[in-house]
Amino acid sequence: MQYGVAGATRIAVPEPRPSATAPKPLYEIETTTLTSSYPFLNRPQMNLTKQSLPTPPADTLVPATLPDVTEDPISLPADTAIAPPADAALNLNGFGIRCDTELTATARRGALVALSLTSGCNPNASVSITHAGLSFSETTDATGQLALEIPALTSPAEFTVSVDDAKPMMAKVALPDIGDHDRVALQWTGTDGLSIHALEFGAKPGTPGHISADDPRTPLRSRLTHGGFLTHLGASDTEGTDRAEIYSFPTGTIGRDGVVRLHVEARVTPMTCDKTLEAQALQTTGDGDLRVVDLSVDIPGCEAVGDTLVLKNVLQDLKIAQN
Amino acid sequence: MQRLVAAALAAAVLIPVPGPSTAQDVRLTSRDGSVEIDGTLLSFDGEYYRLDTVYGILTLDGSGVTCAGPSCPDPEAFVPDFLISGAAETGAVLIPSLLEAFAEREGYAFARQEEDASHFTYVLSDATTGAVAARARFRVTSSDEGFADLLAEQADIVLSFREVSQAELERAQEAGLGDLSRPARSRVAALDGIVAVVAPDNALQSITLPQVAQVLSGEIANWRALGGPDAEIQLHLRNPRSGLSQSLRDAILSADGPSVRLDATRHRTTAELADAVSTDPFAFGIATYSERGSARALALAGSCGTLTRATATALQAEDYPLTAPHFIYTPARRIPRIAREFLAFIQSPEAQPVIRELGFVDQTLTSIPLARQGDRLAKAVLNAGQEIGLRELRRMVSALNEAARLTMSFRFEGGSSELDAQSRANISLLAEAVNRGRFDGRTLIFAGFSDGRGGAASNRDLSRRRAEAVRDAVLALVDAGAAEAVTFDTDGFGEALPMACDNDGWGQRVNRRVEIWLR
Repeated sequence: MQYGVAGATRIAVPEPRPSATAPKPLYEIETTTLTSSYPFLNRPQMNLTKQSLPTPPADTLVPATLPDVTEDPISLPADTAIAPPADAALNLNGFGIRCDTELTATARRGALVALSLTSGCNPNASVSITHAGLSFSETTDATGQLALEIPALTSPAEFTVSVDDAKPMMAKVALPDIGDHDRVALQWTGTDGLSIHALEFGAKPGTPGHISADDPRTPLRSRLTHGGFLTHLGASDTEGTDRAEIYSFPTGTIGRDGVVRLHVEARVTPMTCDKTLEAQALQTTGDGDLRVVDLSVDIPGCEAVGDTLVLKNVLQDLKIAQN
Repeated sequence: MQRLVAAALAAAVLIPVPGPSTAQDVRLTSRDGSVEIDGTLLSFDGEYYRLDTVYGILTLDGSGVTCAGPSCPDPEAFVPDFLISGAAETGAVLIPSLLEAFAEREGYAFARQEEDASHFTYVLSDATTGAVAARARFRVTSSDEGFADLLAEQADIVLSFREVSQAELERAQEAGLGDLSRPARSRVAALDGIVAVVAPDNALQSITLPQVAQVLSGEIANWRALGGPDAEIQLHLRNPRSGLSQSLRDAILSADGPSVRLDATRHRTTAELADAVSTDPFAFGIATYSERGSARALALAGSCGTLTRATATALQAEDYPLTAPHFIYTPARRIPRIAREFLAFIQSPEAQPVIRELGFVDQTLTSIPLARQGDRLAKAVLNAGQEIGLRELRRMVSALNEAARLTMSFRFEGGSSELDAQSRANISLLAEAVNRGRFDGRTLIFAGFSDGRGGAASNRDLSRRRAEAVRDAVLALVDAGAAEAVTFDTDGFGEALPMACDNDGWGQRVNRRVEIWLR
């Protein structure tokens, strides 16, 4: 993967993908399904017509270092992968990235899934992603790549991804440490909408234990501070697309009793006022199930623009008890 | 007129209430046209009309009449709609989550509509056709307001974090809503307890009940008096009208005792209270077991050195004295069938894991083998002396040997022989378990115990009589066939196995009990 090429990562921590030789005893990839079964996507002619980028002058071309498929532990065995076209050069975009759409899902520490999509001939394309009832839309970057780090809601975690409404691809990965994590997700459509707020261990609003979009923390920072973190999913600059937030808390490793209070805030904006906002709340339960609640929120009238509606009981507080 | 009413009521219940005459907006006519009743439609549950008429409120079977008038419902398009109103402690999380579990089990899809902070609605619909099956509206405020909504003919189900008061009982009776204290009208959704809480980094581990009362009244205002640093105690309480505050007054502060410090910080919710206490090392608060949040619950110390902690098991068995059940009250009128099914679900074994996972105490009967009660036995041996000899202890141990104590006990209201609310609910719970065949082929031992006041012989007698009274109350609800499959034994052991200190009022109350053992 060519993380150095462009600002491909939106949310994911741009750490290099683990090499094949790096030992990863804890995490095993169960299966990874690539594009192979969707032949039309892989027809060379198709790729050529989709390639809208003019071939850049030779000196601006980024060296095309193709990932070594055989060394990659999460790639499909060669016999199920599509054989590269006879003329491999025809199947690269201007950045030297393969036009074959490839999706990989890798388990990361903290029950996170590194989702990586390469579709060299679909730059700036809309990508819709669903996982365990959660759906959100992202876009590939100018090189046709997308990399995300997503807190999984289930294990095995299944991801269905489709680029520009093409036939969807699936990837599945097992997360052995998912039982240590409580996760709460909210999804809705549109720019203005809802936000998850977590107050950890009695934290007052605005203090460091208050996790929200204003102070989401990163997975790494959450490990250091023994708290949770918030992930925003969905391209935040596109109007009317699906987006989601996931709050993740390492209940199993936190080592103390207490409670994380969760609430949802809905801002009254010119876009939302006097409307009913439809959303969905998802919450992992102790027995590995997912609680899913369809939600509709009556947003106050437009004279209240600027106000915030606080929904205290839509999400269940996380009660942490060390036994 | 008299004749007409009687005819129309062949399949109906007549509940006359005095009330002002209102707009006559529907007319119900019997199928043969011989009876007509005009009135204001109060409700229609898909089966029955409830009508306010000049004769009072009438409930009429919809299958026997036709309805004419602007307010007539369309029986085909009928969607049951009911209001659940009352305590936030019970209604904010527990009951909605149980409704979700009920919907899932019954195959309904559900959606939640948020109106404002205290009002929301669940819409249950058929998972395949999408047809709306019911609307459950929630008004989550306080126990007081729940009963007020019931009396105002608005609420169908009242959630309360305290028992119904005498005044509410009387007003409900007058309004024709029935005797709310009867088992059919009241049930326990989950168990809970009142706990004294401090911040996790506060060094205090336990407190006596009199000390709690002194902290509340301000008699103890500095942590020094409790062995802590020289710092003022910051007292945190719920607002005075909350069910928790009312239970607290009944449980800890006697009616004629000192009142609560005026400078206490009052909180709208127990969650807010627990959060405030958890971050202030000089804070002291009264919270609930289920909503203690990140604060730490103190153990209750007895004057003879016992420590009683609020654990799920101790709350189930009422070994912790400050139990506080979450009550559900329903009026003596028809509520929609789906609401009745939901109420039955709440008390079913399937609902109990949901209750547990939410942090409340469920009512699953579990058992504690004698072998795991070493502490109690050691205490009993240490207490053995002139009054309780070794022979009596040996009799008790051999009677209970190879048996296990169920996490259900029967205790009595302070200074009376009346069972307390949780124990009354236990009577039907135990009877149901027997009816379901849970104890078939086994022996249930009703073991009575007393406090240490009075002579040993009379205490043994008294405790045996209490055990027999509880057994008889359970047997009265057990089906004849089910009763034959179970052996019911009673025994009385007097003061032989104390759980708390007899010098303390609450200790005596904890010691006066009937335990249930299973062999």
